Amino acid sequence: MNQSAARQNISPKESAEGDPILQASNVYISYSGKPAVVGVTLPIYKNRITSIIGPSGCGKSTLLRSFNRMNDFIHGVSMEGKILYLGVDLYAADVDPVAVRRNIGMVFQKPNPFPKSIFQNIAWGPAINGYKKDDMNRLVEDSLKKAALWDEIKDGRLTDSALALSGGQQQRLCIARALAMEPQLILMDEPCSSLDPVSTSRIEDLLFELKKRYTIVIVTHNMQQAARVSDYTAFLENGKLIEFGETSQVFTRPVNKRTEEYVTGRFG
Amino acid sequence: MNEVGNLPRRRLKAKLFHLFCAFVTFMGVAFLVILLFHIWKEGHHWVDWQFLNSFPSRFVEKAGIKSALWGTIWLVGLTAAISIPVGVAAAIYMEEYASKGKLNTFIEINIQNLAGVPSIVYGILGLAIFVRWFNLERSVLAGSLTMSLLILPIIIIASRESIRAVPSSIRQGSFALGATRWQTVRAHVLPAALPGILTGLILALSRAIGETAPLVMIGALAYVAFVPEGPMDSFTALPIQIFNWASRPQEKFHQLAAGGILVLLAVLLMMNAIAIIIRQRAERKMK
Repeated sequence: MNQSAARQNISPKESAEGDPILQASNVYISYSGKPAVVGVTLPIYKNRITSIIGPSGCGKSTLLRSFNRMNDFIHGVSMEGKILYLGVDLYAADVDPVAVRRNIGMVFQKPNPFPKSIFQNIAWGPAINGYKKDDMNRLVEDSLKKAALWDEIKDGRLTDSALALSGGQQQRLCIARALAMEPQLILMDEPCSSLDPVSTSRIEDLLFELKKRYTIVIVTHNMQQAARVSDYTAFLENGKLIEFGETSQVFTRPVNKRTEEYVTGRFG
Repeated sequence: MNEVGNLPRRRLKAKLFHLFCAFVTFMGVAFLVILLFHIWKEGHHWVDWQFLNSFPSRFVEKAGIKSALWGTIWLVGLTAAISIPVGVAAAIYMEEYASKGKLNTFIEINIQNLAGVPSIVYGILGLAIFVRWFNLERSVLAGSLTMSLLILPIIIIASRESIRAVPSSIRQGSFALGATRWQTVRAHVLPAALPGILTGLILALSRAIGETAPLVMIGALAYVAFVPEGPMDSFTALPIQIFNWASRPQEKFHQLAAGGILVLLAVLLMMNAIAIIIRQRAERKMK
């Protein structure tokens, strides 16, 4: 009991991990005055998979999108609090949101490849950020290998349209596209929710591979998925962080009653 | 399966509606075919190289539409050069950059209203602003500027709609890679919206090619025995020449007018064909 209480304490110093790569402190986000995220403080540890779970509309996607300033595009959104990424406040006045998104990758709920060739899908991001053309072939190949897609398309399909791929392949292409930017942190917003079980398990396998080199935050609706893939789990309800801790603890010995009810499927 | 009820009556209604729609569609096509046939019968033997390559004349045998044809080509070319960049840029601004506030709605409503303003009103505007105030006289440039005003609302509305139809997931994917707004628009939004924008451009330029009233208003000449050599030259256009011939008493000139219409239609179809080819290429690239 003492131990789990300590785990629920969110201060990074209490954890066995080093300094978090990203630290959200007291984050409030609202849409036109309607609160969506309420006072969330959450560390994201390096080379770990952190999953954010919670019922529909609990603010988990909103919270995730605040980590790379994707909420900036939403009309009427306002944000308070601090999000430190490698010690830099992402919302400081002198921080360019374009630079933030260039450094923190994102994979979306529905696969959204560009209607271009597979090669161009991956090469475009590095190209606009000034990556040298000579190394592009290797970068594309490496990114596709890291996303476990290379074997399926190496035989002359690089120039095919990305839209000809299956849904699961498209999502892995989107992961490869994010990896090509060589981010340290990758945000995934329900990346498997539109995929079949086989594609889902391929992506989950891929996540295990990726966490050796990257830090991943994954929003998911699927509690089994959170339990399977993540090291840390944050449970949100009505915009509030109800519980955060190691996944094994959150799922087997939750401290909060609501967490227990949610993970055992009694609501949500 | 035993409860049939009113099924036969519903089936009959469905069939009647189907027939009605088919009938109305074929009626439209039939009128077009009759019209085209009539014009073809009247005018086609006038359309030859001599007709295309001669200036207008009092003598039917010598008369041609060289000046009107070149005037129209100049007019449409300049109008396209002015209105396409301005219209598409305005659409991009309103969809991608402007904040969706009251001002944007106000501008949107105004543009929609402008699309419905009678063309003669644009003619008066062109006369006052371009011909008189800017001192452009009765030049192709003044005509093109007036025509651009006339078709800008159509281009803006069509471009906005196809830009809006580009799924926002594509924009988000682009932004998430650290692209700026312009890089996103340039690389993803515009290519995806291109087929729709081109359709709007075809419609708009087709309208420009057939408009007569504003040109008459700003003083395009009815008798021109030269081809414009620059944007400041005076000019005539196909619809004006056709109207001029059609309003003469002699029967032969009416046939000449029919020949002019055939040329006008040919130019129009050629423009549309080019736009459709570009559009299909763009669409194929997207798949």
